[in-house]
Amino acid sequence: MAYDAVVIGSGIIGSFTALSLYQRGLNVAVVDRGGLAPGTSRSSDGNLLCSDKSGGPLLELSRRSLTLWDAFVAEHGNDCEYDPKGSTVVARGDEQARDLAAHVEAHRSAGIDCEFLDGGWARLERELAPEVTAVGHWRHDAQVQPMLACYQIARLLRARGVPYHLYRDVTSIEESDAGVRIGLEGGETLDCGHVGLCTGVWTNDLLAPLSLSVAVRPRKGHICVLERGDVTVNSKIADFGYNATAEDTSGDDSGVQTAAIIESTRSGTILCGSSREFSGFDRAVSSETLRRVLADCIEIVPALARLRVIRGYAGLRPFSPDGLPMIGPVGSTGRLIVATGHEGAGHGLAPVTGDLVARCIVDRDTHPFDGVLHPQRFAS
Amino acid sequence: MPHPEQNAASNAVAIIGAGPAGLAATRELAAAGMAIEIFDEQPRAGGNVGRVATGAPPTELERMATAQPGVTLHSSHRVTAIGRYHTVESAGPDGYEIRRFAAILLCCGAYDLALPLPGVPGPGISSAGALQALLKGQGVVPRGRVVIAGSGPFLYVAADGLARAGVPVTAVVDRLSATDYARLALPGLAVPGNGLEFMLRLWSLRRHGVRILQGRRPTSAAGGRLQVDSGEELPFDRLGLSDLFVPQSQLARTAGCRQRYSGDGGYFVTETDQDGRTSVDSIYVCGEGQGVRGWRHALLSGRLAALAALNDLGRTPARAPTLTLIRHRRRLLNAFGARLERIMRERETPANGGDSVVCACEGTRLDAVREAVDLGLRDLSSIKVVTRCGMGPCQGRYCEPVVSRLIESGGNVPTDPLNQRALTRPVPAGEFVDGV
Repeated sequence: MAYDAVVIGSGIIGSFTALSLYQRGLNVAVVDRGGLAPGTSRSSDGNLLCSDKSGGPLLELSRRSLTLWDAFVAEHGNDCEYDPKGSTVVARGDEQARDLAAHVEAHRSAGIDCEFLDGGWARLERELAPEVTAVGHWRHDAQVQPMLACYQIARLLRARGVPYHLYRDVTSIEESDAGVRIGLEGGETLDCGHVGLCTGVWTNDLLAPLSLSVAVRPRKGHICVLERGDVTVNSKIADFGYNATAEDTSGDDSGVQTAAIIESTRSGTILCGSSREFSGFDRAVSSETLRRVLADCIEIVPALARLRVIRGYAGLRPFSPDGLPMIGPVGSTGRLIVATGHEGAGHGLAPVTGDLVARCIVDRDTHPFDGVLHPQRFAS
Repeated sequence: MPHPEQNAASNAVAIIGAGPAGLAATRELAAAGMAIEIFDEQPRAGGNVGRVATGAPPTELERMATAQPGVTLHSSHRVTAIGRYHTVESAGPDGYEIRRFAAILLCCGAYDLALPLPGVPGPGISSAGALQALLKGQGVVPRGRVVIAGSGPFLYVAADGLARAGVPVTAVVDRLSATDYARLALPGLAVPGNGLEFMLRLWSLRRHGVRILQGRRPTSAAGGRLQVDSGEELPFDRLGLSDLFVPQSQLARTAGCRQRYSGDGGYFVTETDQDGRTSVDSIYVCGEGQGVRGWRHALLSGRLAALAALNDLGRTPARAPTLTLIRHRRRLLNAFGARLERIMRERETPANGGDSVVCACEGTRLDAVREAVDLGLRDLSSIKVVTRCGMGPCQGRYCEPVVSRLIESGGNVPTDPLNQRALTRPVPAGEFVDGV
């Protein structure tokens, strides 16, 4: 057996999965059909948030994962612009302020470090619109530059002898009692004990030939990038309405939902999100959607109108019908482990996901996290 | 506000760029009675070659726009994207607009750039093209001693323009040698105008006392002195560098037109058929967008693209053109341009100095790009996202060819260009959202 495990996909989920497996002592290889992290990780902002989770397993996973992010940076250094800058959720109108207060209270009772402010938030953010009536502040929410995180892990693993087969499409996956044989474009094959399928919205491309599938759907999002300038955005600033769109699992495909989320990056640019729509695998950028996204953000931080738009991009979030990721074995042999369905929370959940995949492979735990994440839970 | 993609298509043809290719296309389309709307970034129509100062008499395109009701010229309009359904997105004096057209001709020209050199960026240093544009468009005459350095015939064009305006140009340093130019003589027979122009420029430069160093390359531009590989040092107050020209293909990329890597030029270029049809219906690329071939080629290819568009729209040209002849002449010019590019590439030297700046917008250095190349990355977008090279306001116009060369020196061919994301030019946010 050439490898104990092969990870397909070098995005944030694949990167942390490969790292987890390597750290558990496995002999690992990574395969990607594009360059490094050519899919969703490349077209995301890097939200590591608890503030937008209403509760339940997703909040618990997010909290655990944030701790693992801290540990990652402590152990390997911070080459990925990881910044626990906190997040600020803003409410407009009295009704939204009351709902936000209740949301903060629920998080506080779950032990999350956050506070509700109905005034005096200028010390946190001084550019908020006068229409803002209240804010919630989550002190430990963080931000990362996802591509640099994937790159940091790639360099780290490569330096330890883990091969990265980039620009190599997987042409076949054959399971047997002895193991799995992965065929690569160009004829090469990789024999391994287990496969980690960290291929996000494209997971079914690989599962279909095996007559398998998972319930993941691409949900498109747009981000509008503003040039660095004189507008100060300290934390992640999100409209309270963002939580509702992020957690909306209705699968409604009738149009484009938008909700403001704003962050500054290490380089000084400001990223403005977000939009959500179901439009297949099309990744084309729509200027109309970008304009709506940006208009929403300007409503919350009017000073943004002074800056220049330098680009816009779109990506596909792996949507899951119940809002929880799908992590665990598919098929009958237990050798194929999928990790997808993280929607917009993949960067936040990547370290805990890598750990759960490693449990499936190393500890033969077939129902990690009490089975609520099982990829085939929708089948019955 | 109705979604612009749902608007009825206009019957007009959009032409992006008012240089020679745009002019030739307009002539042909206007003669056939088409409605034409020309978008140009500059206040005056003419492109790089025909650039005129603010107060100059009207250029040919401007006269056509005044005299012919079917020809509309939108000057000072930055086209920021070509959307699906043939939409042209532009930011101009009237705000941000998204409009549909029956066909779009991209006549966006080319720009010159310098390969990494120690000391660049630095005070007084710009591209030779920028010096020329300032002089022609705004009458800005640089002060002090000017040195022009880099590669190829454009150096002499830029230096001669400055010398004639009374600027003390002390020297032209050209990587190409007299022998290199002699190698161009044979394919140059097809383009007698080019050779004659070149001779006249050399004569004019010598008359103005400009030293001409051929077959020499700059090794450093630090401290206001250009070091040349002959060991000579040339002090300068302004240095104009130009090592290569690159097609403006950003808009074609936003339209989704397939790109290919041109080993001749060392850049990505839009794939077209011989008349300028791209992989996307109703989008045509002509002039320098097909590969840097000069203004004579641009006139022919602009005309061919216009004829192709007329044909595809089921319209008849004003008079039956001798297509075979135009295509043949275009091919000769194309072959000459490709030959010149190959010779210029032979004379390039591998970038040196690990701390040389590759991406001026983001300050990315050569070593950082090499590290990414060593990891096996060979598409421009992957390298961009891990090094920030190409993430700034210029959207990679200046670093993409340099990164392509580093990928080549790692033994690979660049696989994909920078993924051109919407908005090829910065737009004020307030203007962008106006009307939402």
